[in-house]
Amino acid sequence: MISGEGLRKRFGAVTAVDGFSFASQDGAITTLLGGNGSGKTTTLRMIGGLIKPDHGHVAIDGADVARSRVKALSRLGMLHDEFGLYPRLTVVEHVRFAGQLYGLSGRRLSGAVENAIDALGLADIRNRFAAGLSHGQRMKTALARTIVHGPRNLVLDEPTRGLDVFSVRVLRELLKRLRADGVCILMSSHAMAEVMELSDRLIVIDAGRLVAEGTPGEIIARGGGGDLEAAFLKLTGFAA
Amino acid sequence: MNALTIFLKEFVDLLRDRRALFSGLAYVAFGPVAVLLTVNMLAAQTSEGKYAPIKFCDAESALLAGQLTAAGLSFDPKASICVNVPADLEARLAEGKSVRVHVRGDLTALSSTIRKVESTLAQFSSTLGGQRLLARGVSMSLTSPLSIDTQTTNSFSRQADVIARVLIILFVMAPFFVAVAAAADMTAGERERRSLEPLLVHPVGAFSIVVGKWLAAALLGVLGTAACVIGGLVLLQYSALAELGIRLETGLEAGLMVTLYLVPLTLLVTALQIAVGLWSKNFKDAQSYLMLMSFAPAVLGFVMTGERLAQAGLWPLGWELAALSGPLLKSTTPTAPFATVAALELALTFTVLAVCAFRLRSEAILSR
Repeated sequence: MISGEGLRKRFGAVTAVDGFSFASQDGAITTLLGGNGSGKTTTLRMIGGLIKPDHGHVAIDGADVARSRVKALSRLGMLHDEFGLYPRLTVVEHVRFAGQLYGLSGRRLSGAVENAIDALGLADIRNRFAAGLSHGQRMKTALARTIVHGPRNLVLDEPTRGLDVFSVRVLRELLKRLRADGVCILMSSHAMAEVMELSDRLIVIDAGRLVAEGTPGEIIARGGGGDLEAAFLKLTGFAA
Repeated sequence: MNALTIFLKEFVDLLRDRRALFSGLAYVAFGPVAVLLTVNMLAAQTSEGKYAPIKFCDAESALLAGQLTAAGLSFDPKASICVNVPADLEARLAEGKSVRVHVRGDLTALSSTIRKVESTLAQFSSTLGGQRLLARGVSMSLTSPLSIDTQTTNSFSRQADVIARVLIILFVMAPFFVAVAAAADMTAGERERRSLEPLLVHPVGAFSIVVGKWLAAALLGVLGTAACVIGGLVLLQYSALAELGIRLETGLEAGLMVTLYLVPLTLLVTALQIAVGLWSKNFKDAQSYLMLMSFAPAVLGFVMTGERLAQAGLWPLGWELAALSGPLLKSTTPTAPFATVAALELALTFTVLAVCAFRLRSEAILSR
């Protein structure tokens, strides 16, 4: 479970997150919905321990990210929107490197690497350098790296952005499987179709504040009916 | 353990990075070659007391041959410098007439010999003219009021000293140049290609990350410096250093000693390069700053001479510039003990790495 309590973060005169609280449950996919500059990325960075909240705290399975950083992060897998691969490392080297950083070694490491490679269908390209991968292959490699240690909590920053339909399907199936295994999944997304299909709960934020929270059906109802996009625009004040 | 994992990943990545390897190896390969060529060119130009052989182009003159031989020049039928005189030279001189003499040769390559021929002939001409005037009752001093005698202050030992200093600077610059691109790539480059954030969300301490990266850059720095020093000394065995009066120790023992002296400095320099990379906005910025930093030994090496060099004490860089003359030139210049300097440089290295870890944990590292 990933939770944030009373999160507040300012960058100079700009308030990125303003007293935001949330909870993402195990065995569920929770989606952060918000426009550009709404505070999604700042929130995800606070979960990953990359930035410290000015006020409030983030906990992963009860471990405070600021105080017990190593314990909290060892239970987390985080996929960044730009993947951040090393051009001169192969697919399997990326996954192995991440596994080692999560403390795996020997047979446990080898087994975990093979599982992650198989789960993402990367066996055919395992020895290809990241520089020559397509966008979809890069996403899969980054995701294999993210799940290699079998994290109980997963954070994904706009995972379907720029992906073709085949890659989206692979991602969708994987997330459903992980959810069924009881993994807590928190993601941010702009793709309303994906959000509707995958999300168990939605957290709508605007200007760093919680606007609405609930199941997709509840959010649509609070937005006055219609579809999720119309409800989202209404709740965030972009539509009357 | 995490530092070792990061070191191995960075080193594999580095070995596949042609840009970083070429940048590092370029100095190792071309630095000593450039010095070798410079030394040999200088030796060819300034070989004191040694002149190229000369010959007469067609007609010969025993009178001029005697003058030129007495001035230290030698004759050889295969010589490339030739003196062209008319067949009736001695008869015309006896009649009190003037004679035109041509000196032919490559002025750029054999300038010292040609100038010697010219000055010898000019002196003989002046003496001959004086004798003619004397025969007519005119004193030689009336026509030659000034007697010019030029003495060069560019002594052999001074030139040798400058060349020896350039050699030491070449070796001290190696740790600065070898790992420039590697250090920039694993810091500023990492941030630029957005792989830093994924790395930082792993349960790994910032100090482990910094140490892992530093170890990879430092290993390249030490290997590159050793190659530059040992390879450079092997190459310099074929140089004309001895002709310039420089007795350089070029054996393996001297090479290993110089490398050992440079190891602590290499560790410190690569730590500083990591720090510069972490504070740079992008790879290009980092590379520019690091290239500027690489010229520090050259600047310091030419500023710190004589007594200043002897007072270098424990100062990193200053100590190396002073101490390398020991194994290389068998100089007895007193310097601080190596162990003391190494301990100080290692302490500075870990201080710099601790500052780097602090930087890596700061939010500012994520801003672009």
